[in-house]
Amino acid sequence: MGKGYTSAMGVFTDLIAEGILTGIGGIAMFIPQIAFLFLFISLLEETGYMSRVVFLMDRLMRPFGLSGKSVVPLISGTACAIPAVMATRTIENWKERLITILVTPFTTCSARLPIYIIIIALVIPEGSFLGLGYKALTLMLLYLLGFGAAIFSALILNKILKIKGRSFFVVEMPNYKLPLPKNVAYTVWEKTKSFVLGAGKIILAISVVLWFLGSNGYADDFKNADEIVTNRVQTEGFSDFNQTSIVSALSAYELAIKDSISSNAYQMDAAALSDSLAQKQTFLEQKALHQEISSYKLENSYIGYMGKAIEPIVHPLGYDWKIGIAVLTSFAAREVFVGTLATIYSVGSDEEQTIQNRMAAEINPKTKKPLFNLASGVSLLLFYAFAMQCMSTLAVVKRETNTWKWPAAQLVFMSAFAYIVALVAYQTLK
Amino acid sequence: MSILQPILVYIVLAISVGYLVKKFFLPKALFAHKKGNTKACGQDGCGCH
Repeated sequence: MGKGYTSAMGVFTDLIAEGILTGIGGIAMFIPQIAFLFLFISLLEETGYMSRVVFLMDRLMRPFGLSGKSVVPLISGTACAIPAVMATRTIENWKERLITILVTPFTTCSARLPIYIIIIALVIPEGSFLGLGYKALTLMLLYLLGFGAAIFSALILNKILKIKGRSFFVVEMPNYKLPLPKNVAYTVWEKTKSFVLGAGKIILAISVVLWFLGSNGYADDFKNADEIVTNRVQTEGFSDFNQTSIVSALSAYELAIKDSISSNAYQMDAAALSDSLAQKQTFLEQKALHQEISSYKLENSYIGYMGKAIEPIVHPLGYDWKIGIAVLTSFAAREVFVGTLATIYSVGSDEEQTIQNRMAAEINPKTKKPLFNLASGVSLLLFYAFAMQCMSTLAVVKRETNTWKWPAAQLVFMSAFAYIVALVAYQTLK
Repeated sequence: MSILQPILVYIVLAISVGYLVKKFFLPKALFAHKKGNTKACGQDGCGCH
């Protein structure tokens, strides 16, 4: 075991605190939003309105090579693409079913929601348009973009695929009824539980592996990080970001004390004030030193080397190696992205902050500006809007189509499309 | 106590890696026989519930 740990309690305690709890906590905070999503889908189904939607949409869907029955998978896809792909079994025509299977992963599933919420909160400014906040509008746009991409892809697939077959439409129309609260509550509970437990096990396992890779390293730079960084700080001083942070924190502290003295909240002579400021400065410098050591260790850990290896691929999109690692691990499942970032930033920071604060504090070492800005944020949002980042969906598509040809085509097309769109967005906005 | 903590870390790490390998890299057919009667739902409906 390397010298990666900082806690006096031991490495296992660090694993629980920095690896397991932060990884799980990163996804657990999104349970309310996901439960609301399932609630509204459940209400649509329980009232009998979903069948009417299928009937009404049939004529509209025909020009795109889809059936009215494709609407159910496309709407279910907002919860999860896996049951949505399986729901295509009700579509009798093979071509319509195949197109629905291939385009359903474009719809914004619940796993994308945590990524959208955290990135939107970070990069989209406050303000409103026609009474709607920019952040809410961005989220709505991303949902529309998902549906738009699905419909547009269906149109192209309808022209490309040369599969012949008879198409007919038969659907049972249930009576309208008030939804039974018990049924709705049961569906919301079961689906939310299934999402959290299903994703939770993967996130937990990935968090443990990531923590280990981020807390250990083989190079001398990792093992002697304390010495190297301490010497560097003594000769060259702190990084620009930490120097600025110390100066601004110290000024704020001095101002607060002087305000309290002038308003007679408490008395302090000049010597005591100077002493207090010196103590505060020592505290801030120690904190900055710890942060620089943690950051240096992370950079020279196993995960640091892996991240640096893939950085050239993600750099044109505006991401650093830490986001690159999160993008890579979220190939398993999109929801892993937030848990991964929570784990990586927890390992690299001594601060007890939320994941959002940690991400907001990240500085691009080259530009010395915040890493998550409008350009990189929009690029990340668009990448996740279009990328096929879900191994389980690929496995289900393989099972439903009985060949690896279609999931492979889906993976290549969606990933390439997502990369190009994210690249164009970043290069335009930066 | 100080030796126990790294041992626990390696055990948890091994379990995590094992779980991920089983989940994403090993074919599901390897574990199918443990799940009881898989023929009950027929060829079309298997795996949907």
